[in-house]
Amino acid sequence: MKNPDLSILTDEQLVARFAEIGTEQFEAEELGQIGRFNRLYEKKLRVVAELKRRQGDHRRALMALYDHPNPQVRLNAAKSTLAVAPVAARQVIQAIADPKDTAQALDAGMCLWALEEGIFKPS
Amino acid sequence: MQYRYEIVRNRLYCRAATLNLLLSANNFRLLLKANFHPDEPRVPAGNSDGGQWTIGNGSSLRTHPSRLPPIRVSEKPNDDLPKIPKERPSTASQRWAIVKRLAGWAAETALRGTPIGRVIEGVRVIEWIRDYYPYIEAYRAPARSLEQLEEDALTPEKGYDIHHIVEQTPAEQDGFPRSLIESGTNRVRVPTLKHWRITAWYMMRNDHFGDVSPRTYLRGKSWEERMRVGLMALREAGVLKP
Repeated sequence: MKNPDLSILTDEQLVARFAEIGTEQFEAEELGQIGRFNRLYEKKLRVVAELKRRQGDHRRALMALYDHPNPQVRLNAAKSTLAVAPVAARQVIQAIADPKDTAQALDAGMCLWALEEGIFKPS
Repeated sequence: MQYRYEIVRNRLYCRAATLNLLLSANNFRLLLKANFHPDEPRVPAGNSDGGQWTIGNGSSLRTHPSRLPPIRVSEKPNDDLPKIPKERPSTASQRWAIVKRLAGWAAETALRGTPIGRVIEGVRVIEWIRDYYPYIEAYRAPARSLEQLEEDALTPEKGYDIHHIVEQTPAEQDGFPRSLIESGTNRVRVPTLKHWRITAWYMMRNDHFGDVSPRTYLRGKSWEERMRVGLMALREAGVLKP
């Protein structure tokens, strides 16, 4: 399904879709498939936008993925919830950044830096 | 080296049961220091797989026989040791994905301060992975100062690449002179696997640069801004000392 109608999905289904996308991104990164990673990024944005659009902003539903076994899923979830759960999300990002030996650690560290520098202003 | 390996192997065999083998962290390091000279060509920058290794003209890593012993791992996967297929994967991207996993595992294990080796069962030989030892070893190198990294750039070494802190092609396209791009303060030597990681990161879209890649974000920006991001990326990749 190329562009599914996300508005008909439940929050749980959107969260599951979000996790699938992150898992695929993890694989794409490992294989050096940057184009694929970026196409998946676009899909991730659409899921987040749908959750945000729902009354009261449902992005908090993604916090359920803070403990996901895949680090790319955790990182995506934390970055996508920075605006609605800044403290908890930063803790997750910090934990991913600390080892400095994965692609996700690099991105997580740069995310924290961008936040400190005011480059990244989650909304 | 062969003689040293025999000593190590025999010592290890004494410790383990008939088919079990214990490799200590130091022994593993000896194996990692294999002096291979892989000559697989790289995919040129600008391609979707730019920087990745390729089979190219048919010359492959396997054409360089090693006098060193192969790494031995279990037939059964250990709890967290990345699975290494016995058969050499057919594509470079598959091989490098495995090498990256193995390097990450080795680095993490070293960080924990526990031996890399472990008691394993059903010893088997993985021939193809030994060609990649220099890259795995380089990956485990500790972070260095900027001055050290710049100085290292004067001495090429297997397992390492010359990395431009400010990305060279976008900088050139934005009108920065080649003399600045190739200056000593912009060239550092970094582990190849981390060089690829940073380069990939520059190309990946992300939230903190407004949903565009860092490379796109930096277009039109000053040299200083590019350098600031480049140095942070080196730091967060564990290459540059904080």
